[in-house]
Amino acid sequence: MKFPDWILQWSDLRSSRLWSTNTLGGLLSVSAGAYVLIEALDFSRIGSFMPNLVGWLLIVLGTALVLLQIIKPESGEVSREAVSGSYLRKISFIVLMSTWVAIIPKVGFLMTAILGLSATILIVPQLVFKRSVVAIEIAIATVIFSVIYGGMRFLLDVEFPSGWMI
Amino acid sequence: MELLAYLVNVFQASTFSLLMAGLVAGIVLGATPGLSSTFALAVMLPVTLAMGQLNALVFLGAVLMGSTYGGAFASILLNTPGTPQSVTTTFDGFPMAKRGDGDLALTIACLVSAFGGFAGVLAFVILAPPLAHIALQFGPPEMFWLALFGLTIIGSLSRGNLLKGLISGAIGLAISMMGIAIVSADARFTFGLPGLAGGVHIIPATVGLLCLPVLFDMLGDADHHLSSSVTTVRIRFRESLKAISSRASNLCQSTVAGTLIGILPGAGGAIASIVAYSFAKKQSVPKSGELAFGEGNPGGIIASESANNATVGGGLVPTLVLGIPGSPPDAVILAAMLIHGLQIGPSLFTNHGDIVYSFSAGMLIASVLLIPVGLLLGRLICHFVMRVTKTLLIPLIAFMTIVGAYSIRNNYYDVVMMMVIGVLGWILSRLGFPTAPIVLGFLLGPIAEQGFSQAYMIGSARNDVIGTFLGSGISIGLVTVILFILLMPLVKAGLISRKGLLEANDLSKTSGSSQ
Repeated sequence: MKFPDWILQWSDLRSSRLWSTNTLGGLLSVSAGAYVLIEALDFSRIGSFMPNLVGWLLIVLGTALVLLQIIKPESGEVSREAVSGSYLRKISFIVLMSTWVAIIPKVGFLMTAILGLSATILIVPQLVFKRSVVAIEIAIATVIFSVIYGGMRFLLDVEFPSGWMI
Repeated sequence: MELLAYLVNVFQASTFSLLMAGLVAGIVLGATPGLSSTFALAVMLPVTLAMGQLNALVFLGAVLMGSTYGGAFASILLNTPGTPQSVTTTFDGFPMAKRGDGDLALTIACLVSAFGGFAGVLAFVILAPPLAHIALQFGPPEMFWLALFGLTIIGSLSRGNLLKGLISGAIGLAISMMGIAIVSADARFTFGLPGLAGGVHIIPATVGLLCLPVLFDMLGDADHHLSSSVTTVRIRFRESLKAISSRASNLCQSTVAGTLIGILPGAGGAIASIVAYSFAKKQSVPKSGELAFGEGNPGGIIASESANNATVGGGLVPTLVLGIPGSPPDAVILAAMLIHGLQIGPSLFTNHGDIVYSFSAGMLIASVLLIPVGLLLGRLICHFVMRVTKTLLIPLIAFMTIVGAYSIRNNYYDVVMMMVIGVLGWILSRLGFPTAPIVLGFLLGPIAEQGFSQAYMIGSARNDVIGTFLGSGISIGLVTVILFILLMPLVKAGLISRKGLLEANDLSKTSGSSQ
């Protein structure tokens, strides 16, 4: 399966220099600050003190970040650690985990976990991709999950959402 | 002789075996991402109903001691704070694990946790009444300044661009405001969702910010194990002792800070480890070849772990002497004492002195036993995490983060918030914004806001707001330290530029005279 080019380009900041991340980050900070300030209008005097402070802080710091980038541009790239590795896998995993979390109330905690782990094992880089190896890994993970789930559910009395399965 | 009698009480077969069981259970529960010391104690509380007073307290004390240390496992090996107290352990512990020194980091954490725990309980035994008096001096203004002091570390945690670090801190403060405000009861940033009325809990937020971005990136690289450089996992005892002894002052000051902050109601292990880490980082001058704080310096683990374990003993001071639990785990200990028919307050030491001192002796023994038990369990867990392939490790961590986030309050919104904050943290880290200051802002924001709001209201009622904020010696002392920390870099920069100018003038004079 191949992701469309526009998704890969959007998610891949490897080619991006610090100027673009600084400008984008500064603008996002200003927007977040403005949102916090607008929301703070509805709060009481005591309750709005901290939101006002944080809102102005975000606006001032964000503006300073953008202005500094214009006046004294920072060169270089975002840290290698943050942008290395396969983006296809990372984005697939984020989508997978978000879906996993989203369907928990409908499908049930244990069943989503088993589905989620099976899908994750397929995304993680395999040493040697063999169906039998993947099946064994899924079986081992299912047993570990079930033991943890059983321990939490029956020994520690944690109530998990059951949905229409378990 | 009396002390010996109390120690003998603990070494009775049933009490001692319960102490060992509590220690192991505490370490295992604390090591599980998302399960806090409070959770561990709350789960174990019903188990104590069938026990006698001393056995119940010794068991719960061992669970508290073990779970506080257990938080270090997930922090070091997975960058996921097992408990809120161990957030700062991730800053240097995980970089050490990534370079293949996870076993060294765990050994150091175990030794300093035992030291911090022992010293904290000893301070409780010797200094309980005077320490309780100090705790009562801390009102809302002092708590506000203490939280502000903790926030000054944000600057030093910002690698690269300082502005981005400060913006991260502000984002953390913004996230901490979600939910019903403590003082004013305003519903803030809940987006009309009832599940957000209780705010974002500390565990989903820290797991989302610190663990999920690492998990996403872990999946991206082609290595099949967490650290490809690890060949053997062993207990690196001598190396750890060497690392600790060369940082003895860091260990002692962090332990003292942890004990003192532990006695402050409302502060707890998280703020203790942040303050201790902040102090240690500011004083550290990396030797040649030594990594800086935040990049895998053992000093970070020493500060964080000794301080958070020292709060265990410190927290007992207000709990047992005044009946005011300093932190949520202390509240469970207090509940256990009441359930078992012990009247809390200054008279506790005279009416039930044998129980209190035997309990303290049990805590001292638990902190000593933390070394063998913690090292052996640490080796096993480290071996598992380092050897198991990512195909099993990643889904297992993903599952544990979801379980941990959910089980704190049995609230599905906590899982959703963990995911949302995790993705936000990942995007921000890709834009070059560090996530550690977000966590600090999130942890300290509510303490600072509550302290400020209450102090402001008291000051307004008295018509003396400034006097309320700066009316005590503790407040003035804290403000002086904050100003010193904030102004020191500017003074340093000024001195350096002046020195540079003088040197340039001298140089031009010498070159002028030679011509």
